[in-house]
Amino acid sequence: MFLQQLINGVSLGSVYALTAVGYSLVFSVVGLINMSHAAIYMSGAVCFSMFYNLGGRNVPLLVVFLIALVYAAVAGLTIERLAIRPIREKGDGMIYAILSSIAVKTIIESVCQIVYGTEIRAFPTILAGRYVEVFGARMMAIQFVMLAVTIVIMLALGYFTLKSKMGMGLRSTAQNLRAANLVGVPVNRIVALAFAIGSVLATVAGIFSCMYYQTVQVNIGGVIGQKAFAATVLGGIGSLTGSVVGGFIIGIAEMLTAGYISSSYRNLVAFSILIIVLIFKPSGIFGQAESKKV
Amino acid sequence: MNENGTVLSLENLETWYGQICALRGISLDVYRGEIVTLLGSNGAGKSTTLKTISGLVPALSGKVKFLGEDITNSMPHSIVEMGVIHVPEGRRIFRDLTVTENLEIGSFSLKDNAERKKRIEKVFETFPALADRRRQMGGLLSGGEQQMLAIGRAMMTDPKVLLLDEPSMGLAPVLVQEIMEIIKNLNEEGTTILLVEQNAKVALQLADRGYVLETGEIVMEGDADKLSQDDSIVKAYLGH
Ligand SMILES: Nc1ncnc2c1ncn2[C@@H]1O[C@H](COP(=O)(O)OP(=O)(O)OP(=O)(O)O)[C@@H](O)[C@H]1O
Ligand SMILES: [Mg+2]
Repeated sequence: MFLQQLINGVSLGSVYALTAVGYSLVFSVVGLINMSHAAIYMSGAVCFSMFYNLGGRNVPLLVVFLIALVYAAVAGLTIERLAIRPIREKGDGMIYAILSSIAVKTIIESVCQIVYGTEIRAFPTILAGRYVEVFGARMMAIQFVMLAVTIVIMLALGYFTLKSKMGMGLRSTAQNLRAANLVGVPVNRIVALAFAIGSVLATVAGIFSCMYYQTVQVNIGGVIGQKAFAATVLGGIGSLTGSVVGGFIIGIAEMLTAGYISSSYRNLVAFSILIIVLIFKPSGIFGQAESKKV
Repeated sequence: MNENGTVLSLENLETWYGQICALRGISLDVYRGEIVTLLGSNGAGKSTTLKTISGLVPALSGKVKFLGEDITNSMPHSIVEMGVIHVPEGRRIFRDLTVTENLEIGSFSLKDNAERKKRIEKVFETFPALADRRRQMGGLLSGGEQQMLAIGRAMMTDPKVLLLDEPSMGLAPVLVQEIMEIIKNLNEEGTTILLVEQNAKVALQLADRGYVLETGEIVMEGDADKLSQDDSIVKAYLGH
């Protein structure tokens, strides 16, 4: 059972990790806790489902997947441009930007409710009924794909931030936005990029998660958002590695709890871990103390 | 020098921090190929002048003109792209980027990678101490090395005008001489320089002309050798 729960934990963890990275990316460049992030997770999956249904349920899934990713990127860019940047540029402090992101979240959720409805609907899946053998335990093929995609995305993102020019711009902006702008880094473009990447990753997570459960509903963002945020803080908000590690820790802890104690304790354990970390190392596992950041 | 040679000019520039007036309408000109120094005691508004030019703080009124073009309140990175480079006080290098990355980021808008490599090598030629530490994190450099890196990063943009904010601050006298030598060389290679200094002696040795700022107003201006003989300047900034 341990191995089985570990596998379930890792695959749940990959959903958290993908979502957590978006929180961290945005926080690292503008110091904003983006409350609309989980709504993107949900609306990306809803967008996928809607275009699938619109196409008479026989459009290739890859096509709707790409449409959903484009939606996510555009949504991320739009939120940044219309709801965050004007506040940031006025220098009114991040609390107003957080409030603005809460408003955005509510708007996205309302639009989805109106357009898509509130009932639970079937979500298309891939590789249904297929399994992969892992050290004698069975892993659903979709879980395997989800994990593989997460790993590939994380490696690509790591390579991008460390090796590309935009990645270097991202790191410099995270260290000090004004200083980066002063040496010629187009920080507005960098910040927009962070929103776009974060939104795309959240949508990937949302779609795979719905494929796993084979259902979708407009309220799926809430709990995932909280857990992914907990994972972000656990790993050290602002640290990409931290978000990924935090995501896997929470996913695994939850599934082991569900397996050995009871499913009703899984949220309790996830958030208890968070509180313990906050007490003993508030900057998280990979986080740097505030003074070192700049 | 004539009007056509004006690279940078400030016209009645006024800058406020909330309720505090930091610049009370200052005007100054910097001509092509010059080293102009801006002197003044703590809190006079020297850094604010540079910050307003580079777009870090907004001007309330007045104009900043670069080669005749109005650049008042443009985005900092667009001002950088035009060739006006600000090396801020306290050498704000990126602690978590390597020395090479700190230089690369100075040429962000440059598309030509070969050119970027060439400029990096030029910086390493100018500052051999940096070449030995190219893969080291910026935060691990000594104060003098960080200042060199900050100036090196500015060189990466192939600047038309350099705005230097107290490059000698906190450096040992030998290093001060070295940095001043480098500034002189950069100038001889064609870069126009606006140099803010507390160390008036060093600045006036290097500069062609100077302005003296006091509580947000320009109270004196003239050729560097004249200023270094002026009684009040000698008293206020040159000791004895
Ligand atoms: N961010 C800020 N907010 C409020 N007031 C500021 C700010 N920055 C500077 N000031 C004020 O503006 C005035 C000019 O400051 P500035 O930094 O330009 O002086 P300076 O001539 O560079 O001084 P120093 O030689 O100490 O560097 C000072 O009175 C200072 O207190
Ligand atoms: Mg100053």
